[in-house]
Amino acid sequence: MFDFWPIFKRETKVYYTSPIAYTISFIFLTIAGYFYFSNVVYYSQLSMNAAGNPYLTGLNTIDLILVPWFGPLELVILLMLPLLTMRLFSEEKKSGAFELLFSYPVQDLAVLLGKYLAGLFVFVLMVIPTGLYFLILQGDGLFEPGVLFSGYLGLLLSGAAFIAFGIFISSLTENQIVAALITFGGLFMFWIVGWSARLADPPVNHVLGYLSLLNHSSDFYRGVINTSDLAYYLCFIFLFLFLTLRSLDSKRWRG
Amino acid sequence: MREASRYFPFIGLMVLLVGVIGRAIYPSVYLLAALPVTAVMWGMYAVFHTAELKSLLSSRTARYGAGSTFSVVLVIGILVFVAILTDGHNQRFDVTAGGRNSLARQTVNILKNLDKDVAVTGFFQGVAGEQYQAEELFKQYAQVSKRFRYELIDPDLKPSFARAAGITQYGSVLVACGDEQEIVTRLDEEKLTNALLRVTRPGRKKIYFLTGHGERNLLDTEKDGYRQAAELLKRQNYIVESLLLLRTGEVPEDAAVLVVAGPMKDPEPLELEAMTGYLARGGKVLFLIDPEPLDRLATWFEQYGVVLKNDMVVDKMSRLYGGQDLSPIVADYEPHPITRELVGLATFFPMARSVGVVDGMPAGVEARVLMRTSRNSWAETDLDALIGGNAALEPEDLAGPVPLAVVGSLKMVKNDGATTRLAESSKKQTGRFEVVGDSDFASNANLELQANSDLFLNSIAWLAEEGDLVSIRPKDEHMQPLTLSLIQGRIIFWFPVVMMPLAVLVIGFLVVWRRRKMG
Repeated sequence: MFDFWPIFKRETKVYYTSPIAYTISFIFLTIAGYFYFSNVVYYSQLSMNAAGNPYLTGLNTIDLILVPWFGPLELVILLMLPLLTMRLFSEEKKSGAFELLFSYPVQDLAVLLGKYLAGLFVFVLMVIPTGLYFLILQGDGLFEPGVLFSGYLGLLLSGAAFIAFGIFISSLTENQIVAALITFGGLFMFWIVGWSARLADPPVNHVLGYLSLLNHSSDFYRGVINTSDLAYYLCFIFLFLFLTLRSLDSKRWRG
Repeated sequence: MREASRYFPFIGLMVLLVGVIGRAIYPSVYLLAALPVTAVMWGMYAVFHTAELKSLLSSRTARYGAGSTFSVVLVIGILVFVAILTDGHNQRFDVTAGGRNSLARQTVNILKNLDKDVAVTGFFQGVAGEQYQAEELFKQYAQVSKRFRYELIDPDLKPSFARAAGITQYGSVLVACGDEQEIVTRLDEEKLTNALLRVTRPGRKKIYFLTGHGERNLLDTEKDGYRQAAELLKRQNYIVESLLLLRTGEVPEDAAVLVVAGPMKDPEPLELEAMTGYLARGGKVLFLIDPEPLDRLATWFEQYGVVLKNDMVVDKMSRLYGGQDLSPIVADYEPHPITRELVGLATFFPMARSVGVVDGMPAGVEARVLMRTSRNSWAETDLDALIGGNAALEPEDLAGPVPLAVVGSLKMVKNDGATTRLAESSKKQTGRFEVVGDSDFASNANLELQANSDLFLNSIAWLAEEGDLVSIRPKDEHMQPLTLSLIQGRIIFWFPVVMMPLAVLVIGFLVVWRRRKMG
């Protein structure tokens, strides 16, 4: 099973020797940086107004800087990660290297893990540098480490889930564009299924609410780590990695 | 067509999913049309690819396919089971420093000691942020006590239900335990916990309304009547009754609050004596006094440090809010439990008089102004000029901001003459009073406008509930203002928005370009 390492190295190398990883990281960092800047400036303006108004409550960095930073960023990565995952299997299927890949004495699982972890690696490497933003102002003790931790945990889990879904869709088609589009569409559906939960009656609305990706990340951004949310993400990732395995396997007997 | 039909099974599956999920959400018959559409899609595929299907079904592929499908279904089943398990029994860890996502200790204690079932219904409109916050709060309560049940209803989708429950505003929460119930607006933890306390405790508090001097009538449904005010109190679990003090001579022992709402005549000396006695033994009185000449009452107020002048407040600002000159608006509240949540909200008082405090408080009393009108108002003493329509600010008039209400409490006087506030932990009650220079703000015509009903209820609550309720400090007390220095401002722009992304771009460019050169 640890045969995934060569695959992982190869995939990561492909990502970082082509414009893909850099372009996505560049765009993501620009957006993340801008959100951070804009939230902090707004917050400092509010602080100035609050000085003259003893009644203004709720001036805290969690609600006003962190939550409105993590939340929108989740949407941003939902849009961008499909572009990262679209090539994971589709590229080989297109080029014909797919069969070659599976003729190696390497297990399907190793291939899957290697590719998945490569995607995950690029994602994590893209997100981690944003931690510097918070270090800049940490002199004032503004940001609670606990909430930063749970916020990043939520964002990383979301990304890991998106990548798992993306890799599954990528294994279904040889056309990268189609893979990206379906991934995006599917993730978006998971995202908005929570909205329609309002219209339904119990118990349906509870089920739909549970399925929604958005509902499970919001607690993390506020500083609450909920075992039910953790379990959801793990189940989600496991499910789609499992389905990817099934899909890869089916190539064998599809003939 | 044959080529296109290759995709039909997949499309058919999508249509089926959309139909099923859509039907679950929205009971429309048209969504059932998904079924025939799916059948058609699959049917057509079967027709065009009959030979393939035949060989497929009997082939090795089919056997493997079936096995694969089975394992997928099995895994999904297991995951669903895990999901249900973890959803029902989960643990929350609040990692914030101040525990702002957790319930206060008092709330947890009260919930743990709940011995009756409480049903809480939140009436929130649409998918508002308010609803999400309320639900978060309810979930936390429900986690502590199984007796706390909650439900969220959209009043737009179920209007009759909301009306029957007596809900008049979006964002109201009904807290019910058996026959007792209460409605909370502007939900927060403190209010919810206190509502829990009130509906689960035995017995109800009694509010008496003084009669015999032309006061507001509790049964009157005309615009000047107080029927709605009475109903509002009853919905908050109070018992409301009239009191003819002239006859009884004493304020009843079971009176939680006495309300004097808009008397047109002076009370008799014996009534004033009864009220003095009532206050002295810890009673609570709410005075809503219109601009009538009530000299005996005004003199009586002096012993409590309250100044009642024969004037009427003129406020030209009211026109901005669609009111009139003689309906002063208050937007400026002194910090006090009664007005704490009214910040930013307006209350208005048609035909009001000024109510102020004396410079030197009499011993044993502590009174202060609760609300003032705007700077552009004044209290006109020349009432004839007012009727004539040409009143103006004269030196003898009180210039704005004009005080419109006073709150006060009685202090215990020790034998050695030093005064001290009665200790909080003591069970004995201290007398409290509130004097507002108008009673129209709570009449049927005006009660449900602006924040008038909140002011009315909060006044009654503050008076009636001394010592019974818990005070939960708002979690947001730890404020972290941020003032960016010029350098900081520059850094947080240039570094995250420009430098970091550019660094990535440069590295990428170098790497890729060098590879191209070498390769």
